[in-house]
Amino acid sequence: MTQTIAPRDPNTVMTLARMGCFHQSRLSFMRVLLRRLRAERWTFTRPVFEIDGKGVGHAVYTAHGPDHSYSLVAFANDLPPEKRSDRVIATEWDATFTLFDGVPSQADIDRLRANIPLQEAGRVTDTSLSVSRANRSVRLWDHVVEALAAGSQPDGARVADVGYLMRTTAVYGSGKLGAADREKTADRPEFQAPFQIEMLSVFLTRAFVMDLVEHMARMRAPQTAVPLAPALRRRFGIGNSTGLGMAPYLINHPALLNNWIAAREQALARVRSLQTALPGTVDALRDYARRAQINAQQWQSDHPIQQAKLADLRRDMDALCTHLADTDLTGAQPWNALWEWGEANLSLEGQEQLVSLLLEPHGDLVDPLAGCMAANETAAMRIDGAMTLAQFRALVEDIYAWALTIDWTLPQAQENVWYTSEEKLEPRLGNRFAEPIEPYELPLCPGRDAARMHADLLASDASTVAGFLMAHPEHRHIARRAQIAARLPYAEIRDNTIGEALLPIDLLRAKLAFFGAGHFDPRSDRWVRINMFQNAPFPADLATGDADDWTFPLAQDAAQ
Amino acid sequence: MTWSLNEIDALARKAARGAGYSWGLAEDTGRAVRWLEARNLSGAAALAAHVQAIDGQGLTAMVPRMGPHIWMAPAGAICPILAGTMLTDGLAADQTAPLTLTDLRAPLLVLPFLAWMAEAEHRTITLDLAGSPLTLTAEGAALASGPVSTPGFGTVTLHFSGLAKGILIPEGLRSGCDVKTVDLLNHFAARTYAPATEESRMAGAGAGLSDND
Repeated sequence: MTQTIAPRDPNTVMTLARMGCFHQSRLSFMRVLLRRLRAERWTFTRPVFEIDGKGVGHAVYTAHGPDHSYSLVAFANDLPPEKRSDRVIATEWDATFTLFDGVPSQADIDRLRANIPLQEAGRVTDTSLSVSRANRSVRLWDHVVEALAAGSQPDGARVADVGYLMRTTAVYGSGKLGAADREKTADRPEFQAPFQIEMLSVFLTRAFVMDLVEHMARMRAPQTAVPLAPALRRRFGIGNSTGLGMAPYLINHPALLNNWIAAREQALARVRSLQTALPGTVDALRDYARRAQINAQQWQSDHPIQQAKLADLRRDMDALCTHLADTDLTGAQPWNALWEWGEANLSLEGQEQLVSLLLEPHGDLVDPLAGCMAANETAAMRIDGAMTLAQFRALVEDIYAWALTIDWTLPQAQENVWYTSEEKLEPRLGNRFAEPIEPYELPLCPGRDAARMHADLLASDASTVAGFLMAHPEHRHIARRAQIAARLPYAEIRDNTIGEALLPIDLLRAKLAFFGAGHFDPRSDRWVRINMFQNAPFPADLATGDADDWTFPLAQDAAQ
Repeated sequence: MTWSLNEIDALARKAARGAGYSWGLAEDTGRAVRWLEARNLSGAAALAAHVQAIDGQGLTAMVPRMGPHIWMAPAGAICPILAGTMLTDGLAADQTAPLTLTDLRAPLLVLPFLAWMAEAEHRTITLDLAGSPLTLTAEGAALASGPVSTPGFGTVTLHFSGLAKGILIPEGLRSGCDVKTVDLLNHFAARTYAPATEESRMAGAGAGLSDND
């Protein structure tokens, strides 16, 4: 008998260890963006490129869609090496950007020039949809400029080793620094899915950076300089350093987190529920698995935690390819059978890679779910005060069952404190017992807070949530979360976010996998380096090439 | 210069926390100020005045005691955020007779909570705010008949059987809050920030391998 398969249990999915194994998929935001740009035949122009021989000046890249145009306004800088830092404490960058709503006038550009290069120290208006900055990879940048200026192509191995010429160190959207709130653009189809503004900004940034490096080579040696060979050019992405500032995001946006995870889990359940494999999908799955195997081999990291995970992933992809080679996928619910094999035989890395692989040949089933990934977070904020306390206690005991078994009096259970530093107003993590930071603790520890609330729930004689919260305003935050998680099963991370074993990079990886990053390279347990849009088409290639099949290496590339 | 509503929301949330409200109450405060500023009502200034006025005082004395027709605080003045959240949570859901909030601080701040209450309970709420008749509709919209007063203090009576009147207060996407108010709120928000130490500078942000390559 075949049956409809339910989405996975949130207690299975929402652990930090598993979220720290998520991979990019069809539902990742970079891919959602490029599919739309191609389907709607967006066109791209470069109305301004005024950059001198030192690399100082500005450029404008405009994307024209069916109803709106958006312009990346880029300011290039000649940054002294000692000032180059990816840390949020930096004050100057090699290049700074804003995504402008429309096409900027000269007056707009003059105003932006006085503010965008300052980043956090500047102000923008609601014609700016994002603000971002990037630094060069100095060793690759210099090599590429020198090679092109001399009329030759850069060394492919060195390009593969770094993978980008510039890395963004922050991409601010949604109202930051005075930019437009998401509400201004949320009803435009192109920005309905999450983070489309930020992804469009990075996509255009990549085009700018490649033009800039070729321009610098030409300025240095106009007689001999050559452009990058197209195949090599595509191998450059935009690097990104993501640190602790981003880690609390998933905890601070429970309704949004739910919708991301729920879309992916619904997609997996749809594929697993298929009674028979759809035409062509068996061969396609085998091909994608082979490409994921190559991807795992190519993925490098210097960090011991990631190296161990990569060993797991490589072993898993070998096992998967072997299994697929001698498994009959013509029977009933073949994808569910494959999934169950994976759960029994693969590590978390391999299982989560298998999720992405199962979605890959099923665009028709999966892609429409991207439309469910945004969230109306304001609507989720209201507390249902009329809920009986007995009902509320029952849901707390269900959602936070894992937290109620932890002895929160043990130091290791709550070693970490999330706090905001006075210096840069960014979230940081400190040791509760070594630094005087507890009074500044941010509410990013739902498990402990739920356990504290549960103790007071047991002692309360209130009949409703409203009555309980009147007596216990200190529990209002976690009470709201519990009610959100009762409606939205994947809203809450069901794990200890302040324990001694916490790895903030698990939170970063989950988020960046939804962005669409491929190779995660942790540089400590607190920040991670990724590459965005590597191997993706450039704006000018979208109309003629495949907009979506760029995230796994091609089998023939492995032979090189 | 204008502010995004996200900026105002976050600033109000942190200022409320800095003034001693729990994080949960601070979140509702942020949303309330956002609601007001989006309607060109000076919610940020009202919050700034309120947190200055109560600075150093305990909040417990400002919790209203709920009588059948009158809510009043033992120490004399009701906190609009505590009263507002109690109303939104449904503690007056059974009330059909007029309800008087005696000596309410910064009464403007209670308006968003009344709008959410009206919407949740599907009923119309009317009140007179220092001479300004206001209606919160069952759909959660706010109607006014003229400029909205912003008294620092006052007694407000809520009516649950009145007829909606006035014109819709339009909702925008920016806040025109003045810089002085933002500075005041930043002063309170700063109390939520931990002073930096060299140790936190290095360890807290997670320095590891070089970020430069």
